[in-house]
Amino acid sequence: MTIAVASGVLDAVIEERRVSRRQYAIIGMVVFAAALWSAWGTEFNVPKLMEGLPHIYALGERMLPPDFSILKDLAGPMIETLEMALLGTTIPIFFALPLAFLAAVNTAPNPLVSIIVRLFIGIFRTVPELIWAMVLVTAVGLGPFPGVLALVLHTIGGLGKFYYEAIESTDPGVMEAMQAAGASRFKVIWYGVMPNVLPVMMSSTLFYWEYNNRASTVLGLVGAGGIGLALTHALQDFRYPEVVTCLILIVLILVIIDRISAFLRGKII
Amino acid sequence: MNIEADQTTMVEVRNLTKAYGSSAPAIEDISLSFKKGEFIVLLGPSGVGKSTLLRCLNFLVRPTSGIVKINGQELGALSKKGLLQARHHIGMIFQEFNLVNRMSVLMNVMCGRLGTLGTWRALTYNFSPEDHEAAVRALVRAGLEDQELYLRRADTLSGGQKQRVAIARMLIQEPKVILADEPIASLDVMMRAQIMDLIKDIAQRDGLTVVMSLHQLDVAKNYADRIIALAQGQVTFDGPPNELTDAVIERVFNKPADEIDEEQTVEITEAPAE
Amino acid sequence: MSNGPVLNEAALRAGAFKMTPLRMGVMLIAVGVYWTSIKGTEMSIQEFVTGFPAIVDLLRQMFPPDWAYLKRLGWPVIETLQIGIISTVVASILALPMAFLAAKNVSPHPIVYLPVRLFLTVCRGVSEIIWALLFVVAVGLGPFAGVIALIIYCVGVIGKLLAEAVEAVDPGPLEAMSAAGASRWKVFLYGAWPQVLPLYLSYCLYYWDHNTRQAVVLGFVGAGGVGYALFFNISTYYFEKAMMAMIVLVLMIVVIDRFCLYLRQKII
Repeated sequence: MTIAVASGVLDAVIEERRVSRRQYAIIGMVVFAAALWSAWGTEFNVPKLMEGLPHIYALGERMLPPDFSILKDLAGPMIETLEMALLGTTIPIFFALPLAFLAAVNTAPNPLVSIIVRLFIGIFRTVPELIWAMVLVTAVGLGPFPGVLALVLHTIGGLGKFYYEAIESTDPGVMEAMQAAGASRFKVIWYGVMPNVLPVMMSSTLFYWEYNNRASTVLGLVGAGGIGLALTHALQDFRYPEVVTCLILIVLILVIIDRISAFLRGKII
Repeated sequence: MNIEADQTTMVEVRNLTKAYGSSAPAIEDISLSFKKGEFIVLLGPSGVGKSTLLRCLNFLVRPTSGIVKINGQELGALSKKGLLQARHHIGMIFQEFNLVNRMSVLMNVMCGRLGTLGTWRALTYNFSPEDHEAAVRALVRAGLEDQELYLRRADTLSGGQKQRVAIARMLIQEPKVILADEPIASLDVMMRAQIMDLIKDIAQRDGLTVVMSLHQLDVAKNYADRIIALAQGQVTFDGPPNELTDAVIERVFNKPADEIDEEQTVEITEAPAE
Repeated sequence: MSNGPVLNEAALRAGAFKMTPLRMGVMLIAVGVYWTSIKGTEMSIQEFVTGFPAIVDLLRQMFPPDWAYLKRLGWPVIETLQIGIISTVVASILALPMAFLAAKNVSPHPIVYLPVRLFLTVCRGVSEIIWALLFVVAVGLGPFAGVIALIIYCVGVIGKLLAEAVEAVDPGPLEAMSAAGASRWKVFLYGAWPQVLPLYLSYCLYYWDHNTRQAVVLGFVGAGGVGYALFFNISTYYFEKAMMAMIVLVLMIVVIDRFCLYLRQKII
């Protein structure tokens, strides 16, 4: 039994596969060229790598074995780091939530407010927390306080965006029904929007808690307290075995935080 | 049915046992032989070892002991490469169709030729024009004439269309034996008869042996040349559909025959043996 | 609905919030943790209020931004972009084999899979700035240390995410291809790879965006780019120039963010 195959279709299919293969090849070449250009610009090359390896090895050698005797001195800074992350995540909720309702197009009083608030949220989010910390340390002095403020500013931006995206994805039907029933704007938001967006908000807040724990370990680099400060001091004084102890502690704590966060997330969903 | 073809043995199974870990064996000491062109239905509720038996026939599941011969070749004695070549001539279709959702219909069908595809062509996703043509023929034969569909992603098709694509993928292997694992369990009632007719038609025209697991009694009776019922990993009935009396059915399904209607059997879905 | 509802008051009350000793305990602990956190981080409204004029003063010094400084920022911006590109490309290539070794369903053996997982955990356990700090000590100042730091962190993250994607692959098509006589690598290439590829590309794009942002910050520890320009100007009190650098930086991040969003939509 033979079945007539429309040869036009078949040729078109094969031609299309050929074209798409050529497209992939072009994309690959563009990426490759960009990588080459960047490798050249950043002097990232094999000789440099070969040259660097012995130095990295030598540093590694000087770091081992880790000096665990300072562990009890690190407890204070580590706790401070965790405290900074906790405050840096929870305080922004109170700012991000109202801002998100002003920024979301379906709950904003008018489009202009939405645009302006979004701009602010965008700026807060775009500037990395370390830069905020640096600016704030210059303004209010060294210590964990500017660290917390830096985390707060960055997190307002980050959470604000997550929150308003969640609000915008709520079903307009529910809000309409409540408006039809004569609910005020506040009541529409509280009963129509909040129950829907709460799980998303909780999970994005957890995400930022994880993120801030990681971030707060480095804020010390610019003098904003925590374990990062202990690490920087150890590094500046060439006390490398202590540096490794700091690193091990940081990795351990962050892994534990990851686990806690995953556990809490499982509870939410 | 072809009388002359009836004489040759296509599939032979001797003392086949498969046990997962230390638990009771999924199938135990099964010996069967299927002739060329025979349409065999493995009948029984879920979890009686139909799936395992079917997968032992192409060694997707390696039996614990026993012998499997397909077209005179003993699978257990083959090298790794030899086994792949043997599998190329054993087609298989599945309950969940098992297509790659993100690939086009045509690519999915051509994947049936992977066993013979050269290394360089395989690496560059470059099937030959002959493979393309064979895929189109297979699709037409499987009842998908609409060539608009061929470049669409597989997950844009309906269930019935997906199973037709899977059948085309099997056809392009030019199989001698078709293994079908609950091929209609995920389809709606209208689609079921069409797919069953299609498989029956292909098997009759090409003189293929079909081994199909099913849990729908009525479908089994309508299409099978021979029904084999399994319970606790063993054969409890082996014979033509008209010998399948209510007493036998009660024994197989563990409940009165008139209670086994479409509604109840639809809910049972075969869990893949793990 | 037809017979009129019967209110089950007991059930309603059970659904309402009830103060149990356990909940009370949790709340007390939470309050305690907050109290110590506020004390521990020396937070105080008073300090904020007294510090506020300083912040305002700083802002005043930042305006107007020094526009003339703009043309001298061209090269640092390019360098930051380059750090982002090369580290993402190298990391995404290195992450591929790592991910397959770390995925339970394709890894050859637990002896391989466990150490690879541990390695990936350590890579992403420390943030890229700390890695950069170490490499600056080892190989000296300059973008090279930053690139290595970003690569290490990024291999850790992409490797882990990709391993999870590989573990989530639908096994059905793999089985079908094995049944058709395809060898192990063909099964992988045709059954698993098409399922993983879109996720892989979107992770690469996401981390390109991420790495460019981080490349800025790495400038603080001497790894070059706009970050260094910003750091230098703040620490030497050239606030108008710092503001200019900040503006350029925000623009750069926004543009890349948009570009990535556009590319990601093309993929999915």
